[in-house]
Amino acid sequence: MQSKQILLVDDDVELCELLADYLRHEGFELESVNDAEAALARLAQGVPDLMVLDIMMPGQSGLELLQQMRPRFKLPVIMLTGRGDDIDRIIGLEMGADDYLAKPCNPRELLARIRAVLRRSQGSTASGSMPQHVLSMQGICLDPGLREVRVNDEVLELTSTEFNLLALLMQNAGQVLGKELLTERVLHRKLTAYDRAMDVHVSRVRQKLATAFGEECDLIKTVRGQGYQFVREEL
Amino acid sequence: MTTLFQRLQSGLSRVLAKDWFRQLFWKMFLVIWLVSAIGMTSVFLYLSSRVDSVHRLEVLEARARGQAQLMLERYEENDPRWLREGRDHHRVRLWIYPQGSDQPITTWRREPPADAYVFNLTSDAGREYRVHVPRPPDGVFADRLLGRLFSLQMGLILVVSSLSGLLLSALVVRPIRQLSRHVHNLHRQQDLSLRADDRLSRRRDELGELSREFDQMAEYVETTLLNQQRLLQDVSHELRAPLARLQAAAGLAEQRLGDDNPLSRRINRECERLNGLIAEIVGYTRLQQADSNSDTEVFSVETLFAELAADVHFRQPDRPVQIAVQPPQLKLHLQRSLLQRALHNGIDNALRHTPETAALRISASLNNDTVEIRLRDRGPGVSPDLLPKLFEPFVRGSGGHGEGYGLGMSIAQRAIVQLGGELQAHNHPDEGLELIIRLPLSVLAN
Repeated sequence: MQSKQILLVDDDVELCELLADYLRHEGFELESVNDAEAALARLAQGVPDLMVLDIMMPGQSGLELLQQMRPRFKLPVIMLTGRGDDIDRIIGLEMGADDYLAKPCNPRELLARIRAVLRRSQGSTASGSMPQHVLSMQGICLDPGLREVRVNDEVLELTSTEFNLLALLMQNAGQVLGKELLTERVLHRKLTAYDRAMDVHVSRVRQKLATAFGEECDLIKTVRGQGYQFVREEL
Repeated sequence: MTTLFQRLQSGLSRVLAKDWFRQLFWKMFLVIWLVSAIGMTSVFLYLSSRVDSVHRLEVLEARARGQAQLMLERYEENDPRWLREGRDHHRVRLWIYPQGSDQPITTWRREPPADAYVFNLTSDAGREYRVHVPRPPDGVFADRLLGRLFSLQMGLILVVSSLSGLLLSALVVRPIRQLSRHVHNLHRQQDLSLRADDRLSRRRDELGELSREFDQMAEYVETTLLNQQRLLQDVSHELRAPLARLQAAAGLAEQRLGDDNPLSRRINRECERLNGLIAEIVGYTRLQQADSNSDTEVFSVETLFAELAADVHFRQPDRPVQIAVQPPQLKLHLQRSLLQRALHNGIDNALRHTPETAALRISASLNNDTVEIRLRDRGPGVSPDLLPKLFEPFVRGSGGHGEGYGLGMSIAQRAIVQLGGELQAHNHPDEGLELIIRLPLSVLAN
């Protein structure tokens, strides 16, 4: 198996070196750049398998970089945020980061997240949780083969995480899926304390569906204390 | 016009408040009123009594002169009835002396009183006489003065002194009130960048000077505090970079030593501790600088509580958590993250200091003038000597497990104050600690 390429974007040169050492030892191919400009230049040469991006950087911040590169490059991104910066964290997720990690962090934790994100970005069909055929209900048509969602025949743009989340919910329509299970199956990692990542992803999918339907969308229900549920079509 | 009326009304309601007699306004009013009323009244009475006595003497003299003239006319004509007739109809008692003689022609009378009023008279025949008239008794004057007390002039004096009292005390008390309201706002809104009203600080008198001095002091305190917070924040931020490197290096060491090495586990644990402390300090200082208008949102209280309960369940699955929201669809419009943070820290505190089986109850209710959120645990409560210091930074209770830095509760309080509310803690009479958050009704959605 070819080793995965990871691009590390952080202004702390020494930290980059240490993390690169650590991750190389785990079998990854590492490159690091120290500002947003260099990151864009590097991306232009070829897209790595994953990017680890620090939010706090002098000059252009990580969030700005993410916004700039997003339409062109679709690689998975893990954001490093200052601990306790909840707002940044959520904005990062909404702008299309696939996961976040509070910095400073244990490199072991970073490694786990990298593996999880890589696993799920590699076509989640491998994980076994993907439906085998086209799902169509409540006016939403989800095609696992094409990885495409259509609402009233219009294609709905979803990130890969959002797609997997919606697929899982639709596949189990009518059942309540707990946050713990969703986090494990969709983000491929364990739920941690005060983990709002799944809530943000769900609200993101809700918003996109609402925009597509042009009205309030309550197809995904919050079941208090238990989790989320895709409303089954009444027959 | 209406604003003037409203201002008058609010001013009135303030000066007529409870304990009105303790207010500077009424004290000043009373002193000014008393002094001016007493001063004006005594001047008025003195002047009027002077005028009065002069006037009465004039009347007395005119009457006595007429009478004496008549008597002397008859006397000089040797009309024997002059005395008798004169005596019968005399209204005024007179002593008449020929000029230069001590023998009165009114021989039947005893000596006249020593303080009698004396005037000279020339008869029709051209002879000179001296007339003595006794002065009327003083009692009459006193009667008249008493009468003056209830006169129109006296009423005017009272009105004028009351008006001047009201005016003067309002003149002094109003700016003092403004200044005190300003100070109150400064303290209440935790916003030291507030400055006194322009009209107040532009005044050229002592009060203007006071408010300018006050502003300067506020500015000084503001910059000092800001510098301190900035320093703390900078230091914490700066600490993060080396800590991140330390953790990465520890990870490398772990790779080489093997996963289960106790030394690397120890290093990792200490790193986590440092990390948590820095995060709390950063959160604390950030909260103090937070812009109070940013990121308000409408949210359901029940959902927030459910999230918090889920967190508790995640950390301590055996802990019973009870949620009660009244009315159930209660929605608030404020910075959700602040409220969440305060509650989270309160819960965190409870999880750390009470046994895992002790129930936790989060409730919200709508009162007449506040939204009340209560967080109660069924633990042992807080010792009475620690209770008043609960919200001070770096105060830690004993007997807790896990890592606490003593910042959680002060962060919680800061957050609530930022929301315009207040946070109190007390030991519940039954058992356990109860935190009460009171928010103004203005945070209600709709």
